[in-house]
Amino acid sequence: MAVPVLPCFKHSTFYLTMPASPALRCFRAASFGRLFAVSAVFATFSTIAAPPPEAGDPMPLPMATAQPLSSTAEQIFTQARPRLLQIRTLLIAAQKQSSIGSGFLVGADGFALTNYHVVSQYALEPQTYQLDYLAPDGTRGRLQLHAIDIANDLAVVRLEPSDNADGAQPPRDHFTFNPSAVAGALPKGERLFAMGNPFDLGFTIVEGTYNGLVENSYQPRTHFTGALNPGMSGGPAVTADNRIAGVNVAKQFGGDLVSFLVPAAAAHALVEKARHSEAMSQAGVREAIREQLDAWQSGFFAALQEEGFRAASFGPYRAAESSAAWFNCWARTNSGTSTKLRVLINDASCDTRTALFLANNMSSGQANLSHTYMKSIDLNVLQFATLVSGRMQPSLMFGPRRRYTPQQCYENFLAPDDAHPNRPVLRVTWCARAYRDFPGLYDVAVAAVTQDNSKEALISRLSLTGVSYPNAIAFAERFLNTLEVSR
Amino acid sequence: MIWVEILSRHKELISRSRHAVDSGALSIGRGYDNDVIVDDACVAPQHVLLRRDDRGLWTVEDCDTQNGLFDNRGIRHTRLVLLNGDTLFRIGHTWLRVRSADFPVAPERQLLPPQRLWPWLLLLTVLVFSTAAFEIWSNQIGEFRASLYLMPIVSLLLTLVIWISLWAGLSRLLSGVANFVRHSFIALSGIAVASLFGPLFSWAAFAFSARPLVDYNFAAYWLIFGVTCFYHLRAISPRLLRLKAVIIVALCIAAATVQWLANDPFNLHQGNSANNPYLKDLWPPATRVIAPQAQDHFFRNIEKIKTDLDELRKKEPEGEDMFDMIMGGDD
Repeated sequence: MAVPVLPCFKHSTFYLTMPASPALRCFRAASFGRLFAVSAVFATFSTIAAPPPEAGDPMPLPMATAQPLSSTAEQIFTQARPRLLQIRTLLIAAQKQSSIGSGFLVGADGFALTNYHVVSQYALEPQTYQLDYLAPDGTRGRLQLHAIDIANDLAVVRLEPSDNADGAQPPRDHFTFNPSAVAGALPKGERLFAMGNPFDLGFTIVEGTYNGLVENSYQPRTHFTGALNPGMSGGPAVTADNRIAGVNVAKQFGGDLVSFLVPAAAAHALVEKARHSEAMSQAGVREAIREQLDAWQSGFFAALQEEGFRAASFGPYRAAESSAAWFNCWARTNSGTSTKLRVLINDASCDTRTALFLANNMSSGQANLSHTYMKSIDLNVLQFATLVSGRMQPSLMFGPRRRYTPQQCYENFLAPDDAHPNRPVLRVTWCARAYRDFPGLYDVAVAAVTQDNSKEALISRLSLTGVSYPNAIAFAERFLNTLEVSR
Repeated sequence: MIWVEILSRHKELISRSRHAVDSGALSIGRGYDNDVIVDDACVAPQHVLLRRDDRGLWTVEDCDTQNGLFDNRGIRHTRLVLLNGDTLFRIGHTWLRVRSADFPVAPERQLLPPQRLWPWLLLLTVLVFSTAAFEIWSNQIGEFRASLYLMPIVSLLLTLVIWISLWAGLSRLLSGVANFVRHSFIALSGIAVASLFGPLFSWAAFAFSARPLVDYNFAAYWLIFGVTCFYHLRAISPRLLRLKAVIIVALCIAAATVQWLANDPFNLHQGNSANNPYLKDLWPPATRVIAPQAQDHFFRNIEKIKTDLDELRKKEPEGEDMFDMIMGGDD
């Protein structure tokens, strides 16, 4: 099934790389690739998706031919089947699915766990979308949203009681958590089984390997080596004893079987928190996202300050790079690409791998620092100025207008002062936009270009998404104050 | 002796249309038995009689024709007294006036030495094309390619040729002389000024942090365009200069307004347009004139951006969303 993955690429490219500068985008595409969320969107794959199974139809069991290796999977799936859900977001006006994902029951009283990104449309716009489930036995119904965890991309939903049972639900078969997975003590190499409904093709089970937490990631993510596909988001990943070890969430674009789970600890914590909660209102959801995002960015920037910065040298310039291990850095040079090189260009770019999904085309919680050093080989001063002009333009912030305010910018030349005598004159452009739904949170992009030499320059860029204004200013100030030149 | 002068429909004297008549009374019409023959199909064979009255003034009398006799204001007369040599009358489509030999004429104008525009033309051509080449050269950050220079220069040349030919053709049509050299001179001067102003504005915006020079430079371009057009029109005919100036000013103001409005809806949706980045072109740092900003001042301005954003957040977004248009509104 190589083809159906492709439509989701276009969709998810924007979700994860939107705030990055254009230069960086190519950069990452070439060297690192992209993560993308494992959810499918109707419009992009409808031609491939099979029609939803009719109620009562027997679900075809995958891997029906029993082999020694698959016997465990067969047992697990048979046992897990009644606990699985397909979660559909329906456009109310059309009564057609707008996106699909998976989920699983975690309580006898109808509580189920899924990804936040599976329910995000309904969570933010309940007047436009409704949230339905489809169980493997063909039963359907509405879902209520009870709790969300933006940082871990989790949501707790509850099956609405059916009409004929006068409010009381029959106890439901459900999953329990694997205690050693919750404690983070699973050994690397442990066999895991991920379940879900990829591309609306029917519930499936996939064998894979637990590979511990992703290294150097600020947000804990479990590295799962197995084939997760769009539509399986929010499905469970269980150990051989059929207990939860994680929640399917994303896969690495361009990787082979490199997939990610939300660690069991976060999932367990949210389920416990939601156990006695009421259904959330739209305003409640927005407030919860705002609070969580605000708390997350406070923690993130506090951690960033704590980790500190180290100076990186670019010719005569010194600029700050974060010492935090969760910054993923790449370098690139044009040296050696041509025998008639007219200018030397060295790029260094660092970003946090993870992004927090808020809505389609709206992700947050990213930080990106990049430095481009340019030195003329035989460009004259005017030509060099042209080159610098072309590369210093602030990155255009693109996104739906109902989610973000227009960007507002300020630009000027910044002087060195007594506190920073070694800082060259800088041309700084500061652009920011506010989140319409979440007051107090902003996306900020800063571009600074040194103005001390006519044939040599350093362009430093900083981009932060989902940040409070004071944090953005503090970070930018630090960023600008550490730019130095030694001549 | 008097002179009967036949004028064009625009009331201008046509060459070889002046008739000397040496009698106390004379007839004007299409027939060959008239003293003055008028070749106009709407004029009767004998249309009017011209004679001197008791006071010595010339009077015109309609010979009971179908199309009649009209004065300068278009009023029909059977008899019209010509008060002086500037009183016009019309028969059919033809305007006429009568002047006696003692009609005063303006003193002679000073003869201007022939203007030698050719050297200037050559100088301007060199200036315009070397400025264009210099601009391409200063933007050339890759390897040299002849096409990089040839394409813009050839298109500039073509534009100039078309522009000058249009004006010369118009000039030939309206005033009988193409005046190619003068029109070339005017067009080249306009382009030269514009091509010097462009970089000058860009540099001044950089050197002085002068944002209006970038935001409103189109006004300067329209001004240069208007002045050039005015000189072209003046070269065609020096009459009605004030009216021509008014028309050109009005058209240029309209064009500049349209351009301003065309940019403005974009700015409206972008929030405060004064908060958009403006400096597209950096110049060598050594050419900066004014001092850079102090850090606290800089960050105070950044704080202001937050206030603007919080205001914008309260406003509903309006109009089509470019993002949805491009991404298909997938949300």
